Amino acid sequence: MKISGYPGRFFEDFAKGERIVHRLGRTVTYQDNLYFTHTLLNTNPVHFDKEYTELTEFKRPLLVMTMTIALTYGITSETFKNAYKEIGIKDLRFTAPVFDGDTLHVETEILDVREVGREDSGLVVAKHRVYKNNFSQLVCEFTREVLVYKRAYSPRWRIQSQKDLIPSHISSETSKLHP
Amino acid sequence: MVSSMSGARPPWYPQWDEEGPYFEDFEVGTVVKHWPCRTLTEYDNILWLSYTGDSNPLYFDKEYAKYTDYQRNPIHPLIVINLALALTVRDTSINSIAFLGAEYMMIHTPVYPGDTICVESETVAKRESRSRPEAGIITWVHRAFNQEGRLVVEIRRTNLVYKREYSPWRKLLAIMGRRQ
Repeated sequence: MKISGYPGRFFEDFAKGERIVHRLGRTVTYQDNLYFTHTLLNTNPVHFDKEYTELTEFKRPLLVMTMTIALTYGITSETFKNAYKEIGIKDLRFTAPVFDGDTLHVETEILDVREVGREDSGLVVAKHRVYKNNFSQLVCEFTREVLVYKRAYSPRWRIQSQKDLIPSHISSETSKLHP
Repeated sequence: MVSSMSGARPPWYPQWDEEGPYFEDFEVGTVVKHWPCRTLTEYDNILWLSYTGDSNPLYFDKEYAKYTDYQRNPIHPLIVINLALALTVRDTSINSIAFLGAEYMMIHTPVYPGDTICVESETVAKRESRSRPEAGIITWVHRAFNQEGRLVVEIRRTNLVYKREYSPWRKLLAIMGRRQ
């Protein structure tokens, strides 16, 4: 028998009200923060000038908070591996700074799961809460709206090398959608 | 200003020059067209994968992407959001204490390798901070466009921004014995 590696959740695997503690955490460093600032031309010295940040209230570089959002997507991507389309982010709040060496973990609450009139995917509304230092301090929270593929409609089942995994009921449904 | 340009400036030249704007410089209704813009490439998707570990194959598996509506790997939308914010920093948040939050960050159009993103920012709200005399609160709407002028991302964000007299940069210049 052949089985799949962990495929992530599909639309039908999400339930409203559910809470998920994500398996991956991430310790962030000053270097990570440099990649996120410079590769996208962020020019704020509060992220990379230690002489300047000595004179601010935190006395050290603030790691760029867009990195925190980006890493939240990375950390939660195992769960959201079958995302078809990101709609956006709402109600983003930053509640504490992130410094070199902090460790981030994410807990997600599923606020809503609903059909939006699409055959292949449905809407998942998730509240991501990002904590540092053993879930002791909330650093950021936001609501993510994303369309996630339904299991039968995953593009994976159309890839030649993956077809031997397809259960027969999925095979017939996908062939309806993609003749 | 720290590095003042000599000679007359054209009307479109930002009054804050290279030092960047402080709380006092923002006026509700002003729109800044940021410069530079940036082309996103396949390499950005791969870099993003190495920075974040985002395991959605949509962004790195060409075979998989072929069978989606996109038909090829789009640029990860979080790259576009991050880029949209980063390109605005020089003329918005460079003299900030903190990024407080965003009411929304919406993705309107997918971006593909080779697309070039330009960003504009409009100052939409300005108020004093209740707790901090050294700073005030500014809200911007950032709009990112592709080379065809289509809106790709829109963000409404709020920052805590230094007033000029409390600038750590000016303090640093004084410590280093440099004059403004």
